[in-house]
Amino acid sequence: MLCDICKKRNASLHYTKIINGKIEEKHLCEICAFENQDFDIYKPFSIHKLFSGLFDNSKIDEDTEVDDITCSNCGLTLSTFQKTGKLGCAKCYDEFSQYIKPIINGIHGHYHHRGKAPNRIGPDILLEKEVDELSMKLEEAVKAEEFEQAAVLRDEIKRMKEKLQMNRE
Amino acid sequence: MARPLENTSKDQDVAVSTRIRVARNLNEYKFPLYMSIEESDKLTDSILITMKETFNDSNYRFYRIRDLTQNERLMYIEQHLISPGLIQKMDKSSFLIRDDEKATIMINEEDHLRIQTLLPGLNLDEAWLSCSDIDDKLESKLNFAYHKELGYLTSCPTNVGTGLRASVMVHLPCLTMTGNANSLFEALRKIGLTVRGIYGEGSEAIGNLYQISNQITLGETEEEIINKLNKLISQVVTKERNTRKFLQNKKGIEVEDKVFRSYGILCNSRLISSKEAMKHLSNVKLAYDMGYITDTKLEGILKLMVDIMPANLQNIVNKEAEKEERDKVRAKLIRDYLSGMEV
Repeated sequence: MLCDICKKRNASLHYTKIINGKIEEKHLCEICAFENQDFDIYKPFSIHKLFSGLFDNSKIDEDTEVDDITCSNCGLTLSTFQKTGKLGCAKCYDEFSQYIKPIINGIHGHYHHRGKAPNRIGPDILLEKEVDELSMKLEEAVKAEEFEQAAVLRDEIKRMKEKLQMNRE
Repeated sequence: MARPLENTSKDQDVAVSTRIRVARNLNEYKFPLYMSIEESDKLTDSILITMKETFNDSNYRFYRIRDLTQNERLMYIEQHLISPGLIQKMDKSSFLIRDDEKATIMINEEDHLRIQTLLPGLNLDEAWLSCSDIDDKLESKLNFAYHKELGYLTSCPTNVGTGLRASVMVHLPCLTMTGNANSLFEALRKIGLTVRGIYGEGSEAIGNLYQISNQITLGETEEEIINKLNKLISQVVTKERNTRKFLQNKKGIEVEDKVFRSYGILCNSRLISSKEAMKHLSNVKLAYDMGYITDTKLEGILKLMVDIMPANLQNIVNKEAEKEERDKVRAKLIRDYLSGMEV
């Protein structure tokens, strides 16, 4: 079988392309396949392409067609990030969190850092995390009508919040 | 303690060197890719001031990429003191090297700061402690970008969390020879490790040298990442050693023939490319580590492997040399090194 593109060399790559339900069969020789956009097997691996694969496309399409999102701190647009794979500033993580979360989950399989924290902000962050956890326990205790336990938790949370307040001042 | 390139520490028959780096960014600045040259100069100045305040007792040399010649830049890469990524943004990047060459602080690579420690052999714990110590000291003065849930924020989401990349360079001639290296790498990749050539991302393996590093930076603590890598590298070391023993027992004469042929080529060649030289130097290193050649001069073979790389060689020649001239000088350098050795 001859190659679909050059019609000279023998086709050695055969594949089926399905786009929006439309089926198309392709037969290419190696040289034309090399230049064909459908194949990036011959090109160096691109991490950015992989990123766009991790985006939840349904969400992106709806939002980006109307308006590209911009980071209010550094001015980076989401579409630039999609192209470069690099964020603009620390704030981007919050500004684009909806889009970055699935990417991070896709890469690391986690969304929670468990390692080292800067000493300066470390203790406060740990306290905040503890407050969050205790608040959840408090809710559960109230639901279960364990009011004595709830009172203990409430006081503990109050004490921690005061400490946090003092640290901040 | 040995310098990074002496073939003397106990695991260096297989684990050549250990490198740890952490990525850190400052809250107040855009990430390097998007910052202007003025901003990057401002950031560099503030880091330099902090470095002076923090490490006034130990000596760091400072270099701006834009002030170095292209050959000097490549030299530092060949010595693994800086990463290839650092010279991509010429105008913005710079680095500091500690006098013992075991620590480098890269400014405006992909992130504002990349703190790297480099030690000989398999030495992950010590490399991490020393890297973390520099990190702590800088962190007490600089406002590092840190997120409650995500940890340290990095320019690329692949590094977020710990920002830690721990990597060990291994010499695996026998696993490669027997064709077992690829299946080993496949297995390592499945459990979250990356295997790359000697200059990291995108580089090819030459001289049977590979870098094995962690892939994931978020969700595990630094200690967990390092312990896991440590255990797995120890297994790789054992596998390579067992293969060497196996080959020595079963195919001793073939291995001996192979390494001595390489020795012969290196002793006699008049023109040699860095790739061919690395192939044969790898065999000569194997000959030393397996006891076929015992001359202790070969303790310096890892340094020789760096010296014969194009940019370092150029520096030794001390003039612009064409490829053929370099191949000639390289062949002579190696011949001189090996001459008068007891075999």
